[in-house]
Amino acid sequence: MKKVFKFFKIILILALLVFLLIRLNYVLRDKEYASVQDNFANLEKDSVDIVFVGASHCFCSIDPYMIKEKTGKEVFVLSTSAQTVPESYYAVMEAIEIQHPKTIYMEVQYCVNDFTIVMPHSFFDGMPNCKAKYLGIKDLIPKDEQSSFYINLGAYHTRWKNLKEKDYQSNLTAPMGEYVSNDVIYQQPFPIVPMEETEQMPEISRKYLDRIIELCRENDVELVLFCAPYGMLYVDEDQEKLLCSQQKILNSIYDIAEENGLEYYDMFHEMDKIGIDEATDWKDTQHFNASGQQKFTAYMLKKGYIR
Amino acid sequence: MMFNTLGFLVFFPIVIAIYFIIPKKVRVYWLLIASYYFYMSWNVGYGTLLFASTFTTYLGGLIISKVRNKPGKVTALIVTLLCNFGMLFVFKYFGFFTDVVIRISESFGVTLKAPEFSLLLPMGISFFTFQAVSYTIDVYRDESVCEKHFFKYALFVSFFPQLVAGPIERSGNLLKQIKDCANIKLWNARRVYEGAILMLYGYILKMIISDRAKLFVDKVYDLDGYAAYTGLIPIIATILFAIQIYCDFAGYTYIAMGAAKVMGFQLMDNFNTPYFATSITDFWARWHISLTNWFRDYVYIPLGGNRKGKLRKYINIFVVFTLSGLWHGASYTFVFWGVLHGILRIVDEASAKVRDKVFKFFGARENFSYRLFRVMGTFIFVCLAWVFFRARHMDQALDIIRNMWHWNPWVLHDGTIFNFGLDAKEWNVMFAALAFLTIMDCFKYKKKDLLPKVAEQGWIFKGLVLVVGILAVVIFGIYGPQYDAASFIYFQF
Repeated sequence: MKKVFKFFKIILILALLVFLLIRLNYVLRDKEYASVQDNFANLEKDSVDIVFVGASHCFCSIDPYMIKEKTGKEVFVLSTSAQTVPESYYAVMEAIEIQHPKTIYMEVQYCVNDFTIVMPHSFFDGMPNCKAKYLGIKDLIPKDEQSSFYINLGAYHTRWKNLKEKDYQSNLTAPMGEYVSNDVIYQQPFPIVPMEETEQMPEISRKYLDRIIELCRENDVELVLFCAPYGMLYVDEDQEKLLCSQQKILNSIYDIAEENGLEYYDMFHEMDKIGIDEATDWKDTQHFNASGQQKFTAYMLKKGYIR
Repeated sequence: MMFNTLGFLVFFPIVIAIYFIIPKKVRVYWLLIASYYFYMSWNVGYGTLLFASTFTTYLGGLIISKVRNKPGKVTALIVTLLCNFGMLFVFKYFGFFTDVVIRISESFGVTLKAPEFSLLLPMGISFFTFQAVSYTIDVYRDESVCEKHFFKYALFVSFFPQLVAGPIERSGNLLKQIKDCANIKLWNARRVYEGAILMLYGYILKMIISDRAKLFVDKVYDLDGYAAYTGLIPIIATILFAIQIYCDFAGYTYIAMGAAKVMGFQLMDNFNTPYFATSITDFWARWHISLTNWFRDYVYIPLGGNRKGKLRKYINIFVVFTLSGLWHGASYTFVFWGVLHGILRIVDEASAKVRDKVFKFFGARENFSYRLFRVMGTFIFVCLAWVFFRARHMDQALDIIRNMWHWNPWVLHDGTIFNFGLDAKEWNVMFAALAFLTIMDCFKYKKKDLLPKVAEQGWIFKGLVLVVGILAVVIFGIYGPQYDAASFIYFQF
């Protein structure tokens, strides 16, 4: 009996320690970035019909509530800041593994970049423990840094200096992965490159885009590609050249989509029809604000691009 | 592998779990495998050196115990010492030695070229070489019984908790315990708890205090623009370095002692509140005790100690401290640091009588304020010597000391102090942790060490201490992906 009590005491202390560490992990984690993945993890299994993946251009353009209202389908925006194409591949894998949606919409703006990963913690930290997370960390994170992706405290413990009231609260924002900004700037006019002008996609993005297409095909999930328009970071000649070059890469996706029997909507070419106003619809030069988001989503629905 | 890495936090529980369940007879073999794995995780090749040192000293001990005639014993001892110190020389001092030779030859107008090859300094080579050599010398002196069981001896040299940064154990303590390893009662809750608390305290010293102090120290000492920092900045950086190196090394020792204790082994304490020392002599009785004892027993006393007159005694002290400086690192700054301590130690010794008379003249008595005055004086001297220890080269050390003589107290309140890696919140944590360290050291100084006392309390209190300590390290420790797990400073020696 004495031995059992001794054992019980040790278990009790360990349980307290584990509980506090889990709670601490939650409190210290950067909620701003992790809440989207957290919310996705908390959804009922196989309850989502449509999942959006991609970088900030995606969540700034898509209003999941409007889509749900118009289509009656359950929607989740699983896009995260600076989500690269390799990360999108693992987001698609995660979406299929956990929700197996009917359709995945991928915003392809990051295909213009040659990045493997930019903001890894914003992507992986909230991800539930699943095969996609394990494979993604193994594939994209340098070996000596991988441990901090399994035990997030290693990355976030220094946040004790910046903790605010919301860090202690359990109610997460963005239950459908939505993002709304009411900031407004005036967007300078920017050039639109004709659809026929193309440029080759950077190798890394192309490799992972092909893997995304293959993954969706293998799992019988419809994949739809789209691109939300964006302007120049600064108004100068170099930026204009860069934007034109990026649009050419985005134009090249038409061929990839055709080869693979996919739908692709490059919305640079339908800017006028959407009714985007340079004075009211941009939060910054790269992203839509709430007004632009409403117009963009409504147009995609109206045209049947999202259905 | 470092103690403050995830690798060790996985390695140690696995070693312990298996150690606790395997048959008594194979415990030694298991710990030996674990120790070699621990050491070779840095570099597989290091294992060869460790084995070479183990084998030569083992063989030396065996031959010395078998040979009847003294010349034979002496020859065996010399060969063993040559093998081990030769290895130490090649891997640690060869570069420094060639540099010295080249400089001397240049002063005579002869230009020599250094051989172009570089060897990676094996972790803790000075520690295990000294430990292994001490065994052979003890056998030669009949102060230790020759160990015939090779694997037990190999574990004595390679025992992973103290392998790379001491304490430098003697066969009379650690080897004796290893021989009795099969009889250790493994599941002793109190002993295991005491071990865990020692480890936790070590982690607090290392990760909360030492690595935090390092942020400031490195900003001042490692930047090429160090010459621009004057007055209080280099003074604070040097005081913080004194704290950093103490908490780093003592932290390592506590982790080592704790890890060993969990397994049922008692390692010697290496530090006894060194910054409460009232003189340089007292400082060295409290700082890196195992190394001080080693030099005393194997260098100072064989040289004649204090038995051959005052002058000889001072020469012996000087030789010991110069060697001690060289032991810490193959560079002029370390040697000078040793020389400086040697001089301070001699001055301390030589001026004792005069000093006492002066203090008596001024009416000073053995009271708290008198001791405090002496403690502060000793700390200042020790800190000045640390400048040479930390500096990258002699010129930098001299520049830093020169720059200290500058009046700029406003850096404390105009925000300048926060520009060196520690913001206001970090300083708050630092002060809180230092207050904690001071309290702990005060109790230890009074021979009422608080750590064992915790183990005497009720299980709820003990559990809470453990939980709070772990959470403190997790939150306030310096680690993580943006942070290159700082090497325990003494590993490089």
